[in-house]
Amino acid sequence: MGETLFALEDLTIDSVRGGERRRIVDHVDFSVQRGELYGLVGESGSGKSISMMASVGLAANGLDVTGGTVRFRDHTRPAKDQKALRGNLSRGVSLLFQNAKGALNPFMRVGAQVERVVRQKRRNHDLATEVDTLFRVVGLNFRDLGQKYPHQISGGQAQRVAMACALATEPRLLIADEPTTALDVTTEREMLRFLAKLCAERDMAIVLIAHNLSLVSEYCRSLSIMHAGQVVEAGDLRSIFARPLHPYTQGLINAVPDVDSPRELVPLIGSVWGGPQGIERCRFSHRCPHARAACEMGRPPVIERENRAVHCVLYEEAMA
Amino acid sequence: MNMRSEPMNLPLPIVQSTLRRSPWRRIYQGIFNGDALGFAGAMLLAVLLVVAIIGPLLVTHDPLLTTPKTLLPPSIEHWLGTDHFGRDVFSRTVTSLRIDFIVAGLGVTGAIFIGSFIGLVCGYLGGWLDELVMRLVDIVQSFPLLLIAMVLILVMGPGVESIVIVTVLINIPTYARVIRGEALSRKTLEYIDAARCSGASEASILFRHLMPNTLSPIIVHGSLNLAAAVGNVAALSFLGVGIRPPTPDLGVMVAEGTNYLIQGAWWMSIGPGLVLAATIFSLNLVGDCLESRLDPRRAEG
Amino acid sequence: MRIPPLTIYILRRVAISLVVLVGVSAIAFAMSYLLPSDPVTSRYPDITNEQREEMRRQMGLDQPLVVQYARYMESVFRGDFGKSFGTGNTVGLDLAIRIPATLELAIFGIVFGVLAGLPMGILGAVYRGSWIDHVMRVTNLLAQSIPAFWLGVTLIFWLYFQLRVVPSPIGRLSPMFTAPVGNTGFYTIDAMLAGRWDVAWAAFRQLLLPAFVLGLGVVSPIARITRAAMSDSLKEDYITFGRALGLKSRQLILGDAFRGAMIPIVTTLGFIVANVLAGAAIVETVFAWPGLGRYAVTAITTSDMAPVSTCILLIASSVAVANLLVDISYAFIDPRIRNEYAQ
Repeated sequence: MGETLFALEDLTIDSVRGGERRRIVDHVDFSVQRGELYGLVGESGSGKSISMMASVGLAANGLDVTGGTVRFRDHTRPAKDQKALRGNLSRGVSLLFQNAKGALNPFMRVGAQVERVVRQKRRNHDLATEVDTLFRVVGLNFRDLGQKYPHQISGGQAQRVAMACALATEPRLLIADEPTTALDVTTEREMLRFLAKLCAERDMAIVLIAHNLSLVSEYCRSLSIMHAGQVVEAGDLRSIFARPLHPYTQGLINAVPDVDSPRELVPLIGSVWGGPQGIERCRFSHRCPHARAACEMGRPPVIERENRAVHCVLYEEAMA
Repeated sequence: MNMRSEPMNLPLPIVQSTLRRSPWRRIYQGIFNGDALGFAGAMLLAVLLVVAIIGPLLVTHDPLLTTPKTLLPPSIEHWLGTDHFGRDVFSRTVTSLRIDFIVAGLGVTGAIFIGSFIGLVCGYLGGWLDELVMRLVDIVQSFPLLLIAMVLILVMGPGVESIVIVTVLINIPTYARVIRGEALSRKTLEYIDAARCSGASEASILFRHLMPNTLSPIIVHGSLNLAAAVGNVAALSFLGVGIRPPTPDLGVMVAEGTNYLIQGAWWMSIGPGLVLAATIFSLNLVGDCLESRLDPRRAEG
Repeated sequence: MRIPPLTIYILRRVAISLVVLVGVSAIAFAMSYLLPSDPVTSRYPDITNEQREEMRRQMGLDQPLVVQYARYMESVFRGDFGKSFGTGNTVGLDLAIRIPATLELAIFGIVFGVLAGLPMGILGAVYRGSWIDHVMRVTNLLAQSIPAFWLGVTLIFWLYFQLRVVPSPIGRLSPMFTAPVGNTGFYTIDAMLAGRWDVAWAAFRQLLLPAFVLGLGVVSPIARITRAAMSDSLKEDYITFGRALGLKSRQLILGDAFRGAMIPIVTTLGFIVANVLAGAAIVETVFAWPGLGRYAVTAITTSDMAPVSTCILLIASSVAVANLLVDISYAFIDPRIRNEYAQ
């Protein structure tokens, strides 16, 4: 297809707390094609959820979106204008959360929660049929579950109800923020297969936010890898796995056990947010085995080739 | 192939420096966290406290001296007019403020000491004693405390001491409950275990390790409670069981003023009432500010 | 036959409350027994010692405390609550006309306080940290800080004596009207039921000032707890998810978030009952309102034992009832708690 549906450019977010200002998302950009299942991978706290929430205008209190633009379909808006970005939510962007039970209103029967999103669309369709269909699409039975409260259903069922709510808005883009973290392993697979199926059937792009690289690798075709608020590497999944360029990506892949060809696992040392603060630098430098002086002199250059991009000084000389 | 490199930028300051500001500015920022309302409340309270403390220097007339110049409206001679006994309302108001601060302050301080002690012991020891005391607290808190206070004062005999004791008694349950909760939630924390492992005695754990950490809820409740106590002392006096005339008290002055409103002597109650309201308001502002400052859960946002 | 679990829960709570109230009655009676002045002497200052002893014997005041308490409890179960030396009636009879007066005042006051406090708290939470929040905060701290008795007196002076915009503060109804007779004992409602709209309006105008002063004490606690609880529930994931689904802000704030904040608010409302009934003592004194509070104050200052114990017992009981209602309401607010009660 190759048609860009959604793109972040130079998204920059500061956290402001008690007079202290920290850059937690540093010039993030990536783009998602129509109908694509896109992975956004990083350790906890790498800024992936924060970027995505800000990209739909739901930046939390205490966060200051200082720059960047968000493109969705044919509109490009400054990321600072959070209110305008929220408009995208009714123009075809929807969300799924990690904690599906918390995402459902505990005081409302789940059927009614789906129904009111459908009604929100203001169509004169038969509400009951529509809700029933949505339940069927997500693999649930309205007659069994519709009258239950969120605390009476399982985590997997709750995530499916949340998905029914999201699908009711007929999204072109679904941002799924670790939708399977709260589920057990078998349900997790089931859920991801289901997401992949939806993606293919409905011409709906999905941004799958995850901290588990191997999980994403099974379902996504392309991805971005984030570290400490910066994108370190992005592009076609197979090519990245075949030849990881960024030291962080290499570290991540080396940390994944491989049953077929056992090798020594190399753990990543250090924490995401360590290293010198308050300067523009490569934020992986303090954990990087190849770190050099240039790493702490400005943000790393972006080297793009074919369908890959790596943010690292190591390749500057090589490519130049 | 495409290359993009950014020019090196200047370091980003992480913490806004507070060093180069004037000391007032630093107090304002540091203690009040830039909370203008809390700061204003503290200033108002400070002014009232100073007036109460140096009151004897400020009074223009003897607050107890009756004169034939009864029910005079405010004038240069009598800033807030005179009452039905020809006494100077301004001088009486200033003297009242002093008395009311002392009575309410003593009462709340007493309640803090006794209530915190009960709460600490109950929360730390738990068991049947805790159960018993907390049920008692439940019962006491279901009583109409203003009426109970009236009864107790009459039983003990009217007088300043009775009011102080009653203020102590009716405020004990608040502190017992709050401090018990604090002790209960903290006694399982690591630093208490650490103290125990290093051989500290029970009493030492209780008073050296647990008690200092219950200080911030005590400060918050203390200032809010002081506000309520000042109001209650005045209310009791208004109902005729608090501080007895001729001793000046804001509640008594408002009560006396009520009887002369019909004759148009509004000045008898307006001054004392405003001072009373300002006192309670400043204490509430300070308490509210401290509450959001010291309770981290409420602070952010 | 199967008894619904909520009923069992309620019955158990009622049983516990009854035990507590017996304890309360004992404390209340002991307190009133300790009141200093002798009711006989204060009523008949000029009688001889023999006459006084005779009267004390007749009233049963010479009996030991335990016997007097037993007699009092007997009268409680009989429903007349002993005899007031002050009015000469049984306390039950005295209260029958005073309770509706206080209830009418208290209900109007609480309704006003809640109607003012809720929006203030919600606005404070939604616009947290902005100037709106600060204005709300100062307003409700002010409402909490102005002593009711002084405010009452001042309002009477300006609005009645000076501006004449309110009727004279002499109780429930101006003497120009005859009090409506009805079942509720609420003058406003009884008059409307009798079709006397002019009387209902007069009674309502009479209520305005005292209900405002009494209700002002409710504004601040309600506004504070609403702000805190709404701030918490607005941070919940289901609110963010609702926004992500494009649901209207108004619906999310007033529907979803408010529902989540209701439990602490209702709990506070339960606590407020005790405050309002005690506050009624002051407001009724200022506005010459013939209710429970003024009756209690008079009884306390004249050492009238039966009314004192009964008023304390009555207020403690209404606090117990309020707390029970609060607990039951939890089950209707939160389906998860409904589940818990059922177990």
